[in-house]
Amino acid sequence: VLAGADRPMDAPTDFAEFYSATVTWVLGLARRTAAGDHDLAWDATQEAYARMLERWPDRRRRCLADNRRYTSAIAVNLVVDAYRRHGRSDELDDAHDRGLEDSGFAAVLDELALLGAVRDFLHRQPARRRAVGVLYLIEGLQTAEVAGALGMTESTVRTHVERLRVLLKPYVDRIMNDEQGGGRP
Amino acid sequence: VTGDEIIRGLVRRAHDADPERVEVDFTAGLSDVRRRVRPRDTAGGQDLTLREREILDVIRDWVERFGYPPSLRALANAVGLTSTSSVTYRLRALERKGYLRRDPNRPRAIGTPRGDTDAVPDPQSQPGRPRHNN
Repeated sequence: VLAGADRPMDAPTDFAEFYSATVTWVLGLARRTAAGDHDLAWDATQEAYARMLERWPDRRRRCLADNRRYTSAIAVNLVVDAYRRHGRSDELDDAHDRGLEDSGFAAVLDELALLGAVRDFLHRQPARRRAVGVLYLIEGLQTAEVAGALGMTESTVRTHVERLRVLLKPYVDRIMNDEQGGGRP
Repeated sequence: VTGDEIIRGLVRRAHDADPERVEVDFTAGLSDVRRRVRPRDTAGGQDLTLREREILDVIRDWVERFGYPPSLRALANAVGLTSTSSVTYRLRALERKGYLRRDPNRPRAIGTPRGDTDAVPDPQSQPGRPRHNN
């Protein structure tokens, strides 16, 4: 999906072309934000593209990657809104700050299991932090862009990112150690 | 390579390696997207914010389901606002832009004067609310 994502799309560009080239990626980000809830992710993704379609006359000449990031941000924000509507985003962040202890990390035997543990870790984060993680770490938005997309202050985004850095460090250390040929403890 | 690049690399690999990735039926998906885009009346010359659009959608869906408009509290809950005054502010903006018509002397008297939300009936003749019927 991402191959050639940064190429400019020459006019005339078709919305259908944009949709087919990016929807799998955007749906994936929405599913990650929705902690695997496919129905919620699909609804948010489709609604995000509907809103994009309304703005398509103004955005069709922008490059594919820009428009994809814009649509991703809407979809992720819609997932967070759904959590907010159901009162599911008010849980205490501290309750989710368990990166290593309860993830079965010690039993991780190979890289795929480690990557699965990283996904599980993301799914356990509170909705808004998860949304920040998806947009900042996977979609590659800058903190200011994430703040604008999610209606947060930039300092709040930086706080979430810093927390994610700390909590993900053991996973990073483990995979770096493996790739450098180190043994498991 | 910075620390953030390493973390991004790991998280992206984890994301890409998800065995539960879903295949999308592009044709059906695109049709669904087009269905979701409703015709808009932009005669007022002012577009709606996402939140205003959301409130308008909630009003339309509510009327379709129950036959009468939602209360301010129900609207606040539906769009994730904690205060009814925030909803009132948005409703005033929608009224100013011509998307809503309100009667300040009656409860739940919200209607749309133009074609944007055809499903929203005139609040003067709400079929599901006998006490409002003329």
